[in-house]
Amino acid sequence: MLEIRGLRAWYGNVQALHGIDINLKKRELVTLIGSNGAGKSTTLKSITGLLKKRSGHILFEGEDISFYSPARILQAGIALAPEGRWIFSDLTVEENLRMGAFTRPRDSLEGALEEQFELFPILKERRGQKGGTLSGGEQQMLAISRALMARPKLLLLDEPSLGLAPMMVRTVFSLIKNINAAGTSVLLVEQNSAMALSIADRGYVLSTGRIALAETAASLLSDTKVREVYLGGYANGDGI
Amino acid sequence: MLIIQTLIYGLAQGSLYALLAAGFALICGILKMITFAHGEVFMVGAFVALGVIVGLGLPPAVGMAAAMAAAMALGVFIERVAFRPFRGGSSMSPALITIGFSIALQALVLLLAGADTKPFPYGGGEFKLTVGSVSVSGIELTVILASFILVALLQLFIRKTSWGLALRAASMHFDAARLMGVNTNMTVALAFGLASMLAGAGGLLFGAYYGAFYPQMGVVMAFKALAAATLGGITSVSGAVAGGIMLGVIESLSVLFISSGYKDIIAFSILILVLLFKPSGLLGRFEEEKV
Repeated sequence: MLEIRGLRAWYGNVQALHGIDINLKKRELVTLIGSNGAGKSTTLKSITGLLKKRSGHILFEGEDISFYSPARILQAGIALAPEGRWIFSDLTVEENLRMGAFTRPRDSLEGALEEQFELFPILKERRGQKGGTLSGGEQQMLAISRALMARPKLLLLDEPSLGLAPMMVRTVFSLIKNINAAGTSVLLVEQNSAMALSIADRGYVLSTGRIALAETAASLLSDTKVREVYLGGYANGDGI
Repeated sequence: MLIIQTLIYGLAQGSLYALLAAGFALICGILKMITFAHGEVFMVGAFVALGVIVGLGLPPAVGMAAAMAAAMALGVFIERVAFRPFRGGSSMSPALITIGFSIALQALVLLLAGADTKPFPYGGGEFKLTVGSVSVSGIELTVILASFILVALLQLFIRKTSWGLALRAASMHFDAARLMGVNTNMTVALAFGLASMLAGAGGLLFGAYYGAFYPQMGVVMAFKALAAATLGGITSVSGAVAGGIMLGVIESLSVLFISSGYKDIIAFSILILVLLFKPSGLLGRFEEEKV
């Protein structure tokens, strides 16, 4: 479904990705783990077209989307819930969700909203409240829900557990699992590697802009080296 | 009764500031950059309207439409050449380029229309609304009502249409709006177009109110409107509008109670005090950076 070949990316003159290859099959939940600065977020920003200075090929369902605008990539079926959530803080929850469906025909809006309110009842409760007044966990749900408003075939998630209480982390991860089970493919970037691997089918380990390892989630979890380097400090999945 | 009369003068002057201040808020809100050519957009709108009304002999309403259309075109052009190439970079280049635009546009109008101050052919004197000892002239009423209607239409557009939603979203988080598939180039051009339309209309109203059209008419107005927008809170349209009205009223009250010579000193002292104690403006607030 998603095929990335030789992706390189730069921030100004600093090269952040040195040619990475990633494959993701339909309905798969794949996770991208690695330490800070390894290039995880950069990969997602490249896929969504937010990062312009890049080379290499990105194919989505056979279509070359390498140089599409963010709007066209979204319309092709890829949506991102970004790191830091990027909530429109002065818009209401409902307006935030409407923004998620900005590229979709207007008549599908009400149906999509109802769907999201069913999936996230807390957002229905808060629909008239400003996005900036929500708690961290609620904002994360809003960010995911807003991405889902575009009805993506592939959902990209960047650090969905960042800054959340352990209870909330578990809630968010089981949500991700459910969204994937309902048929949406997921590419998940996480610092909380143990937690991410526990729900993923496969995982890629990214290290300084290169793919260091690509295995099934189960074998990465049992790999002693991976355990030492990436899971050591927080193998119980409760974050740092 | 003198005080009510003074408040009406202040309101008329303040609504002219408000038309420009709302534009500063739109532009600064979405780009976090300042234009120094806004006063000249205001002036060009005024002169285009004067040309249509005096030169072509068409009614003032047509002049107003022409002022807004010409100002919009000019504003969108300025965005294209002075802002878009520097998006995400230093805000210094757009500032300097727009200062250049400001000087060039003044010189251009000076060459085309001459240096003499031109009057407005419609006197405001025929109509007067008098209640007790307070009287409002037709032109004061026109300035206040037209500004009020224009600001209300702007608010309606921003609050109720999907392009307005995109505009507000992009002002809050530019990259998130891009991520949602918003055409941000169009949105920025829209912000400049709307801001310039209000400026063009304000130019005509200013010229008609004071019966004076001249190439430098936008200079002091734009600086005061920028100050007014900052006073109210430059990242919100309603804050900037409120700031504009406040500045007009403060000025007219200082004329009444102190002396017309001191009005600028008083108005700007208040501005400095507000910025010292509440840097985000009276009604504005800082966007919280959340990581």
